[in-house]
Amino acid sequence: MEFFKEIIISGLLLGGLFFLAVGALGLIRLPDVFTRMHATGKCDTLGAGMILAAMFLLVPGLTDKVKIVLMGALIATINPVMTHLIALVTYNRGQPPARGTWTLDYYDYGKNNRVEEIPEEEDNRK
Amino acid sequence: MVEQVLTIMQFGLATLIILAMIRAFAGPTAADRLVAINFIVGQVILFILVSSPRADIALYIDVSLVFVLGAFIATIGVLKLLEEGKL
Repeated sequence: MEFFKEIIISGLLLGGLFFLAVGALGLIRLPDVFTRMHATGKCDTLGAGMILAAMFLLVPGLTDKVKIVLMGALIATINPVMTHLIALVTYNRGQPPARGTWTLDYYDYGKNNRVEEIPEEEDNRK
Repeated sequence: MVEQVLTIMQFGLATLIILAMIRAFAGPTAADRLVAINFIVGQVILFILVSSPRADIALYIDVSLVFVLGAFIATIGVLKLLEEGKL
């Protein structure tokens, strides 16, 4: 029984590390801020949830288990809200996505706009 | 077996923090750096939490809980600075 518990804990820990590694890979390799946010926002929440589940099984004592459950609830609510806020502020500042992205304009629904080549003097990505 | 896996977790999370710091230093815009810093904060929380059973200090769980509560204030501050131009 103890052996199966250790197997489950190890699997959850290594799975969480795998998803976090995928998120870090996306953070480094993807072309613009929106896609990087897309990679980290989801992988970070899932990986943190798996590692917290493993720690929930690992620690003894009810107090520590309750603290870990509270931590999981806070991460699962704060992390997507933060990602949404960063995306909203970035969009409102007019920062364009990567070249070649198909966007649905916020103020003009139903019309697909493709981000074209931006002239050098209007490129406010820097 | 769990002890070895926890060692692997510590090395892996440290590697991920270093990889995300590359993006935090090299990111072309402020929003890229903000996303990278947000990611690093999550990794640091998990690193403290994973260090708790190996060091045999249960107080690290409280440290990690307080880190969760306070870590996102800086992100909100930087976002308000970007949106309004002042704090």
